[in-house]
Amino acid sequence: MAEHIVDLAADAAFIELTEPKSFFYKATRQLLGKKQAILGFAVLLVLVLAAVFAEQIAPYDPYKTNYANVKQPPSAAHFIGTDELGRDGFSRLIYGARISLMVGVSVSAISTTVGVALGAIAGYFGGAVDMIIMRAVDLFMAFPFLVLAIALVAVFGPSLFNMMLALILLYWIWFARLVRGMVLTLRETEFVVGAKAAGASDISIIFRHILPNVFPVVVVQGSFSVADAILIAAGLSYLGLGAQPPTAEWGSMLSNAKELMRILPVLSIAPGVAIMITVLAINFIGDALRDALDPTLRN
Amino acid sequence: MKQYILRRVILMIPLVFGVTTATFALIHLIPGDPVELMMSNARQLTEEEIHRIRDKLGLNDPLPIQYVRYVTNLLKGDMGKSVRSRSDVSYEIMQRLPDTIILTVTSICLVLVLALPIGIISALKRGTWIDTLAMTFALFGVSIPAFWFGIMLMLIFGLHLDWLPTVGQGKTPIEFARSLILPSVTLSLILLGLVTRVARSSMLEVLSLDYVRTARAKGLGARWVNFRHALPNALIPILTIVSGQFASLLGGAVLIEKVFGWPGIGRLAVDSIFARDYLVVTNTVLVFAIMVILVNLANDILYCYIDPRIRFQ
Repeated sequence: MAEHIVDLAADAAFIELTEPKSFFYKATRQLLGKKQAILGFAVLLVLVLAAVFAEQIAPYDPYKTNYANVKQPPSAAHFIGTDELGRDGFSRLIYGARISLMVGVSVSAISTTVGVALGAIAGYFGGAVDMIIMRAVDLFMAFPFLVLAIALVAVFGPSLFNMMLALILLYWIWFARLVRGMVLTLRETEFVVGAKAAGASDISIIFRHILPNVFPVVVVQGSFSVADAILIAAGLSYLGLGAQPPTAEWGSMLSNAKELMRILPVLSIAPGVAIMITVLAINFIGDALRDALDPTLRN
Repeated sequence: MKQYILRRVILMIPLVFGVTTATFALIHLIPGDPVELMMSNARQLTEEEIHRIRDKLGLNDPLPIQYVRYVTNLLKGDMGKSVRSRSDVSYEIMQRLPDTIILTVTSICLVLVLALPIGIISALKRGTWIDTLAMTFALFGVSIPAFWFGIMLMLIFGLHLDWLPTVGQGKTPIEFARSLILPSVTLSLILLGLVTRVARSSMLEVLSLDYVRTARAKGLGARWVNFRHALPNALIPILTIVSGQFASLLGGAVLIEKVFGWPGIGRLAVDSIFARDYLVVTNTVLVFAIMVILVNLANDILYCYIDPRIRFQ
């Protein structure tokens, strides 16, 4: 995602010479003018690189146990020490970036797509589809999100995949509600009524006139939902309902480190700092995206 | 007014119906035969015995009949028996419910005491370093995993400084209060950032309204305008957010209770998942939902006392 936007900036700089300033040009300009956004992108880029090249970067195999070398304090060989099985904490931390980013991005991407599609259908066509979706929304809103996620994982059985499934099942509703509300307003606007009068099909109205207007808000909320999903996934894994041992995942590393809290507090500190940095970077980007893309929210 | 409240209560009924249907579905979605789950520790049963137990429990009846029985039992306060402790599920939940309520209510109070002043001051000092500092604080508030924040507090105030107990719940009132501090501070983090932001933006919005300008133009003092004219109106959206976010606070309580070994219903639910005590899990979920619905109802009613305009909509 980070590279994509940087590309966009290069494109935008080129377009400036040839075309009148587009919405995307202005948005990208604004985005890159913000120190926060640059910092967010830079940190995220580092994290993405760490996740992709974990094999090359990590000094040790994160799953290799070494009973001669357990519960070591931080040293030059082991930056944050080793756990009760002698596994290198720092290597596990790097591999943990993989799981967190993968969970955050895929949960957010899938639930956004499903939510936007169903929300647009519900908002545009109304009728039975709308009623069913909105009743489902009301119902899901009555439960605390995390409680429902826990209940679904209990039904499916605790595993990383099932946790992602549960999160997707809960997140799409939120996007459907958001998009439905926007489509209800857009449906009545003059340009949509005009397009309809001109004989445009429903499909073309949805894709050409409605979705482009929904897009900025969805991108902003989607980016925040990546951060949110990472936090919730870490919490569920901490409870033992997500990634299962011995998977190197930040949440389950924290739960593992609890036994060693007295002698090796660094193992309890580092994974949390990693989650915090990741979430902060994404929130920085989300805030900047909101300022750049969503004119209604601009100060 | 009475009519408004009555309408709210009636609107609640289909939701409660939906929630019970959802938990009923959850019970039936859980893989594995309930009888086998129940008897997991006992000796191997013959087909015939299983059938007889199923008959006795009514598990061979059609689903609609089972559903009606489920709801009537619920109304009588009967939630079935826990596999793990062999006692009534309703008893288990009722015993632990007060602890969850004490934890969440304390956290809400902490959120209000901290987030309101910070948000309002940062709105009044908009653009200054105070505002920047407050907003940075709020950003960290929404970006730190609350359960990890709890672990950090445990490390610092429990293990390192040895000021406060780290796990469990104190027996005497003073010990109880001491053991409540770390979990409730941790839980409040879940809403702290959000409520600070909302307090700030809602105050900023009210400050830009015409009537506030009029009050200023009349020559009223800044303090009088800010606190007598602007603040009461700015509080309304904050109230909505806080009660709307009650659900996420309850959700967070599940994690925080687990971290601090606090004996509330959240920890009960998580522990029961691993003990395959599914009746406890599903009924805890139901109790959570009913709490959320009741808080929303209370909020709606409170709302129409605070803001009379609502009643006429």
